[in-house]
Amino acid sequence: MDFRMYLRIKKLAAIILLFCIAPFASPGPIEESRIDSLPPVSSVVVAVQLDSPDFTLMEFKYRVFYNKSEVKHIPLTDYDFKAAFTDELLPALTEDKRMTWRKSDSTEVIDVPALWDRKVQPPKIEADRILLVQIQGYGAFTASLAADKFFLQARFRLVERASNKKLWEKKLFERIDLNGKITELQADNQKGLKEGINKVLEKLCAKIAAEIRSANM
Amino acid sequence: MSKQNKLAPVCSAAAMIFFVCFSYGNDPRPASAATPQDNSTGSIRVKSDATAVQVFLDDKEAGATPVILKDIPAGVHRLMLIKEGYEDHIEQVQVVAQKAASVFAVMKRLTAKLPDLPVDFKVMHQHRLGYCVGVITVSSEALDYKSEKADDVFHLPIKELKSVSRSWGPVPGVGPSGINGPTDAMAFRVEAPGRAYGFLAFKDSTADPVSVASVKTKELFQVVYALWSTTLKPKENK
Repeated sequence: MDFRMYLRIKKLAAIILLFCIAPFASPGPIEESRIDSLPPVSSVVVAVQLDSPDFTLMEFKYRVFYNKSEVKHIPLTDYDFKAAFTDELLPALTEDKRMTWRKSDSTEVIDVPALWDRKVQPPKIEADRILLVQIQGYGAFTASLAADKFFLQARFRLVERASNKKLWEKKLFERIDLNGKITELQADNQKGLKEGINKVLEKLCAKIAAEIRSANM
Repeated sequence: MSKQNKLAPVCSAAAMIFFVCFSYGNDPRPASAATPQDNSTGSIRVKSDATAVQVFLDDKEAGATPVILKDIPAGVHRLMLIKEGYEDHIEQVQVVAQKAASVFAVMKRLTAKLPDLPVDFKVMHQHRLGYCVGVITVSSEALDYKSEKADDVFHLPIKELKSVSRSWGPVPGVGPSGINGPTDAMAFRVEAPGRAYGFLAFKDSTADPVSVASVKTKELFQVVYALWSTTLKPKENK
């Protein structure tokens, strides 16, 4: 190997070394400059609307020539389902650091059904976006020919507060099968119903949070 | 092309790839950010059907529901939920390192309705051998017992009671007739510092049927338990 070749190899090694060291040389300024270049974090207000506050028990009775169904509405004492849903949803959503999440406070009047149907414009609140949540029903299905189930159905829509432009939307129907019958659950203090609906609530909130995290917004 | 000249673009490309990977690989604002946590701790998510229930972990106040208790050492912990007007909810929770345990407590309302105080109950006071018959007067502060012959009198402040319970089983000193039947009436027991007391309440006389005596004894228990439970406070953390 002659001297010129030695110099070339040395020069090449120096360039490679420079490229390798460069990313580690000053991580602070690089990170900061990149954060500056990113769009600011959007603030989101979560507005939850519950169609019916009662636990809905839907009973299907199969007959030979027709199917009969019966719907019962059971008020759950001491259990604010809307508050429980919001308390479950928010911690799940806050794992998504691309946006800051908060629930709407008592002074912010957000008419979820009217906004959903675009009948009104979003109110002027301190948020860039609004997550509209409409809980369409929660309760249980019972049927003589199938396992009893707890269910929860809700739809979600993320909109721009300024324009009511839809950014993302999802409808979820979640259910869990019950080992046994609803009628055999612990009736004392409606414990069985509350525990069952809490499980399906946890499952749905985890699922919707995962959906939002994976959404490209 | 010489050997060095062939090598140069390959090395440069490798260096560029390396540079690109390191500079864009770690997004400063990920969708999901993991929080640093001690390897030997976990967390407990505590929820309840009733709102704003006070939470105590290992007898130390830890907030109100819904709450997430973080950095809890792995192992079994005692969780207690308290709210006025409800029975205390106590359960053991197993915390696994780097995992989140979830507790959903259904609080039970206190159903016992207190009668107007003070209230008198006719009772048999159990002795180690035999018994005496008298009246126990329950006031908001104390239990006062006086036997018919006034030879057995005592005063038990409710806040000094160590325990209030019911027990099934043989009642010493009670014969085969009367309240005891053979001996399966539920006795009402209180434990005061240094001594325990047992009572069987009855409606009219000691010859009452067991079922009637049991109902009266349960009433006595419920009244005293409701009064006593309001004096309870969680132990302070040492």
